[in-house]
Parts: sequence; structure tokens; C-alpha cells
Amino acid sequence: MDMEDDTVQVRENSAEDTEMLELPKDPAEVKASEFIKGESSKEIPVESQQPELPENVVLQSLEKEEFIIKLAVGQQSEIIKNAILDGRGENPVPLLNVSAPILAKAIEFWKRHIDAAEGEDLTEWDKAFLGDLSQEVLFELAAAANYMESKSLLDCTCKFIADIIKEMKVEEVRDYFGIECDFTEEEERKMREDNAWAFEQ
Amino acid sequence: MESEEWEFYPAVSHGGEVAAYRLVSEDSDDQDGGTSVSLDTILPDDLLEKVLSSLPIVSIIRSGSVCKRWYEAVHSGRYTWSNMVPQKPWYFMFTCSEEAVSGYAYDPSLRKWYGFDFPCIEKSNWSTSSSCGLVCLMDSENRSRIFVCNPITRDWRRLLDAPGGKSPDYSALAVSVNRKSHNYSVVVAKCKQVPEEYYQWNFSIHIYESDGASWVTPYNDILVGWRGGDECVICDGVLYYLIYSTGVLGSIEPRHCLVMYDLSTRPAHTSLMNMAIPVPCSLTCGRLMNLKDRLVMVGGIGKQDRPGIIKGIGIWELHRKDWREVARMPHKFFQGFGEFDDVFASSGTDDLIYIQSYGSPALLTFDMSQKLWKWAAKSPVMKRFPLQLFTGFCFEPRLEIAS
Repeated sequence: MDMEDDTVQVRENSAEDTEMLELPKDPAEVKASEFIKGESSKEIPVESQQPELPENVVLQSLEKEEFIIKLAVGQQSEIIKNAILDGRGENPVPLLNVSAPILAKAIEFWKRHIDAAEGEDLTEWDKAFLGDLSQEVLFELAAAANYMESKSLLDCTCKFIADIIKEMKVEEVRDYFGIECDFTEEEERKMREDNAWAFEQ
Repeated sequence: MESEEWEFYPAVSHGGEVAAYRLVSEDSDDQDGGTSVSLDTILPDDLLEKVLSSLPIVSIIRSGSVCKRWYEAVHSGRYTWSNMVPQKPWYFMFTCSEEAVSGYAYDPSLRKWYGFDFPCIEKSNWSTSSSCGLVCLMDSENRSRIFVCNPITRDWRRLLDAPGGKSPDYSALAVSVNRKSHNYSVVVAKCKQVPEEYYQWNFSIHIYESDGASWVTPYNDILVGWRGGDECVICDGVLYYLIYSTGVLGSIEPRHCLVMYDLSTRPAHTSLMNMAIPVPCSLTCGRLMNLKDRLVMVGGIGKQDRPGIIKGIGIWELHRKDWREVARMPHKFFQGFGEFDDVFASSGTDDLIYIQSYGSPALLTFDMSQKLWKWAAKSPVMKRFPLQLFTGFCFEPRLEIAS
């Protein structure tokens, strides 16, 4: 497969960055290239301080689907960063606990954050981005951020989930999470009594 | 891609492992509101704890009663709530009466008042001091009877009786908690007039360490012409105590003076007056507080010749030996209290100062970092008769500190 050749090429010819930029127009590649900045297909002068680092990184999801992104984008995840920097040169980086649609969302987040202007406040964008997601995808994205050790995405998703539940009553929280209460009535009554102030409305 | 079966693991901490995810297929669109599987299982324990730690304290407490797993996340030591940043202090306000204390706690972040059952406190004239989530209380009728509690978790303990007598003429209380180790020190400064020598006052300083659970009295000495009061605070390992001229040495202005005692070196023989710092101007009363390890005083500004009359309120910070004025209460707020006695309640921690007139349930805040004066949300405490008095104190709400 062409893609296999490409990844092999990445490892062996990591010093020759320009070669990597000539991506074959494979149908599978077209999808992956959605995640790459527009300019990547043009010639980019090699001026990185660490010439042995690849300009692009290939990520592999649970379903073995591959995503090509710029190194700077991927470095927002400690797992990806370490996989590249620790010299193992593991490329593609296997993210076997993250499904393709979730990984795509994570990449979209990282890209927006890397593209941000100096001092730009992305709070509104973050809220809109996460607000668009279904409950399930939101949670899976949080878990993926945790697994991939991406602090910015993790902080953002956790705060977002916290904001959703912070005004909720206990019953509403259980509904939202799909949790069955496993306390006895007596236990629940006692907890509410002990901290009556927290339960009054 | 084929859609696969759900797999999910029991909700126990797997560290880095995470439950498997369902592949999002075209069929997912009809799975709208009612998820057939609990979302809770998608979050491993450390992630649940991270979500909970982003909540305000009141929501964290509520979360503990969602289910047993969440209860563990909130109450077990596994997650160190120590990682939570210092919280803005709450203010507990109650009426002064002979009856049991019942009051309301103000949460400045949510601007909400909660009907609050404060542990340990029996009478409204008890002395209090707080530091880092713990509140220390001293029985007004027996000044050796001391309690320490965490008002949020309701964990409390009565300490070994303090030495120095149950009924000194004046006593002041201070507590200081070490955020890292969770150990704490309690200081009781007692002052008693020497019998037959009315201008001599016996000062004793008693220190309790939680790590060791015992009292020591490193300082016990006589001061001439000065007496202690009920105001002291511990700041960066030093006890600061406001003392008052008794007028016996002639007219000394200003009448308030700040003395210091080093709690780490604990000298037995030291002249408190040598290192004494007079307050910046004539005060009707002074309230000391520790704001991020800076010594701050809120003082009622009085007239030199008429000490009982308050004409304003100022805030000063101590820099080495000098007072630097931080702010003066703008006239509109001063007037907003209605009557303002020469004495008032004021306490603070972190960056927030609370000021309350004894005659009214109105509560004013001053933010040290923004230099901003702001009224708290209207208190549910009602003034029922003209001479009713109110008081209160602040504390930082924390989950990890135990008595």
C-alpha cells in the first residue's frame, strides 16, 4: 500500500523533510489531508531547530485509520509528543484507545488552539465546539484527552462537563449520567441531613 | 466499517486504561437522549475526580450523594483536594443573642447564602480564628476550652485545655494551618491585670501544635501601662497582637500598638515593647488578618480627642515596620451601613476582606487584588428589633483539612 511506503519513508528519510510533503493522491489520503493546513503541500523551507524531527505526524486510531497532522498540532498531547521526541520515531503513533471520530475532534481542537493568535481568547470557541457534541462524544473526548495526556483539551472538557452539572440536583445528575442510585433511603436521608445547606434550593 | 458491540469495563480505576469505545456508526443518530449505557462508565476514577474538582464546593458536596462511587471520589483520600487552589473565603453571619448560634454562610463566588449549621459554636460571643479550611473556637466562659473544626466536612475536635486560667481579663485566639502538611498551631494570648497593681498587666502566650497535641507557654511577662485585647493573628510564623494603652503612662497617641512574637524561636525573655509598632493613626478599633501571608489591618478611624466616634474605615498593610495604606472605605459604603458603631466585625483571608457593622446584617467586601469595594448579596438575616446585633467571621471552604 502506498501509505505503508510513506510511513516507512518517514522513518528512513527523516532528514529529508521535503520528500514527506509530496503526498500521493490516494483516496484514503484525501480524508487525512482534511486535517492538514492548506500550505503543507507547498514547499516549506527546512528551518526547524531539530532537523531530525518529522514535520508531520501520523496518528492511528482504534480502527487503524490514519490521520496526518503537523508536529506542532500533535505536540498538544504528551503521548504523541513523547512518541516522537523520545527517539523511538514511532510513526504512525498508535492511539488504540481512541476511535476515529473522537480523534478527529481532538485534532480539530488542537488545530484551532495552535492557530490562535497571541493572547486570543478561545473560551467562546471552546464552548461552541464542545456544545455541538453529543453527550456521548463529549465524554469520550474527555476520556481520550485523559488517555492522550492533552492538558488543554482535558481541562476544557472537564470544566465544560462540570459546568453542565454544577447547578443540577442530585436526581438530575443521575439522569444525565445514567447512574442508578445504590444508596439505601436511610443512607441518602442521612447524607442530606448532615449537609442540609448544600441541598436546599 | 462494521459497527461493533458495546464493551465496557466495570468502573474501577485502571490508571491509563480506559473503557473501550463504541464505534460511532450511522445508527447512532437515533440514540438521542436515553443512552442505554451509563456515561459514568466512560469516565475512569481520575477523570471523574477531575470533573468534580472543577465544581464549586456546594456542588461537590451534593455530588457525594449521587452514588457510592461518587461518594468515594468526594470523601476518600485518594484524590487530594489539596490540589484545589485557595478558595475565596465564605462569611458566616449570625445574630448576637443568648440562644444557640444559628446563621447563614455566604459564598462569594456564587453570591449565595446558605442556612448553615456551624459545628461546635455554642454562644455568639465565642472567639474565632480561621486558617486554610479550619476554624478554631474559644469558649467565652471558659477560655481554656478550645475547639477546632472544618465547617464544610463537619469534622471537629476539642483540644486539650489551654493553660493560663479560664477567665483572664482579655484573651485572643489565632490559628495557623500548614497547607502542605495539614499540621496546625493554635495560639492563645491571655492578659490579666495584676492584683493590687492596676497598671501592670500579665501577658502570657500559649502555643498548641497539632503534631504533638500539647500546649507550651514560652512567654509569661508583665507589661506596664499596656493591656492586651481580643485581636491577634498569625502571619508567616509570627504572632501579631494588638495592645491598648491604659492611659497610665500619660496620654499616648495613637492608643493602639502592634506587638510581635516569633513563634518559631519563642524567646522567653523579650521585650514586646521594643519591637512594638504604633498603628498609623488614632483608631476606634483594629481588626487583624492574614491575607496571603501579609499582615493587614482594618481599622476604624477615630478622632484623637473623641475616640468613641468613628469617621471612616481604612485598610493598611504592614511592610516591615511601616504601615502602607491600601484603601479607605468610600463614603457611600460607610453610609450604606446606616449606623456605624466605633467597633465592628471584620475578617479576611486570601484576597478578600469582609466588613460588617454590628448593628446591621449588611455585608461589604473588599477585594485586595482588584482594589474593589462591593456589597455582598443581601443577607437573609433579618433585623427584628432596633437593638439587635449581628456578627460573623470568615473561613475558607476546604475538603481535605481535618481537625
